[in-house]
Amino acid sequence: MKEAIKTTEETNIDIVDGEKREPQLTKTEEAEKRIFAFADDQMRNEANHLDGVAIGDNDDKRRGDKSWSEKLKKSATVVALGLSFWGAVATLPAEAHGQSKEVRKFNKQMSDNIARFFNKGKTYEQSEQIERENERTLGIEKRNVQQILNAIDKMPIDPVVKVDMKRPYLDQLHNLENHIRMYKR
Amino acid sequence: MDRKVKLVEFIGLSALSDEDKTNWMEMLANSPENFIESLSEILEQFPSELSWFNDIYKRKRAAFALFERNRAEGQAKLKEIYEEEKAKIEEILNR
Repeated sequence: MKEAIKTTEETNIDIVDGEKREPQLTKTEEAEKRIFAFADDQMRNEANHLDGVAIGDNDDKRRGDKSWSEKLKKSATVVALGLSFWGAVATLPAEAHGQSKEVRKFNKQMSDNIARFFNKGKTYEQSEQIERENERTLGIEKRNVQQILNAIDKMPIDPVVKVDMKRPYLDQLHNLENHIRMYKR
Repeated sequence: MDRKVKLVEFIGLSALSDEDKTNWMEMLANSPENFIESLSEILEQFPSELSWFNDIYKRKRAAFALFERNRAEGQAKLKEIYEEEKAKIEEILNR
C-alpha cells in the first residue's frame, strides 16, 4: 500500500515506502505513450522518404534561386510530418484532447520531432539557436565580401580587369544574400 | 498580418466542409510555429493544394486508426500514402 508518495515531474519516478518505482500509467497515458512512439517512428520513415524528393534542373532558370525550392521542400516536409503527427494524435482517447497541459505536451513533442529530423537530434529551441547563429555568421561574411568589393573598386587598375576581379565576389555576395533571405523567411 | 491569422482566414473562406475546417482550426491553434510558418509558405505558393493536404490528413488519420486495429494493414496504407505524398510534393515543386 502506498504511504508517502513523492513524484517529481523531472524524473517521473514515484517513491513508495522508500523505494523508487516506475509510476503506474493511466490508460490515457499508456495510449499517449504508444501513439507518440508510433508517430515518432512513422515521422522518421516519412522524413527519410521525403528527403528523396528531387527538384528539377530547370528550377534554377525558372525562379533564379535554388535555395527557394530547397526551402519550399523543407516546408512541404514539415507540413507532411505535422499532418502525420496530428493524424496519430487523433487516434488518442478523447480525454487526452483539449486540455491545456496535454496540448502543450503535443505541441512540444511535435516541435521536437520536426526539428530533430532536420537538425540531427537537436530540439526545436536548439535548432532555432543554430539558425540564429548561422544568420549572424552569414551577415559577417556578407560584410567581409562587401569590403573586398569596395577595395577592388578603389584600385587604380583597368576597369575591365576590375570587373573580372569582382565577378567571383559578386557571385558569393548573391549566394550569401539568398541564404540570409532563406533564414529570414 | 500574423501568419496564423492569415491561415485561419484562408481556411475559413475555403471550400472545405465545416467539419474539416474545425479540424484545421484545432491544428492551427495547437501546432508549433515551424508548422504554421511552413504551412503558410506552402499555401501562399500553392493555394489550390489545401484540398490535397486536407485529403492526405484525413487519410493519415484513417490509416493510423486502422493501425490501432490491424498493424500490417495500417502500415501498408501509410506506406502507400507516403509514396503518393512524395510524388505530389515533387510534382508541385517542379511545376
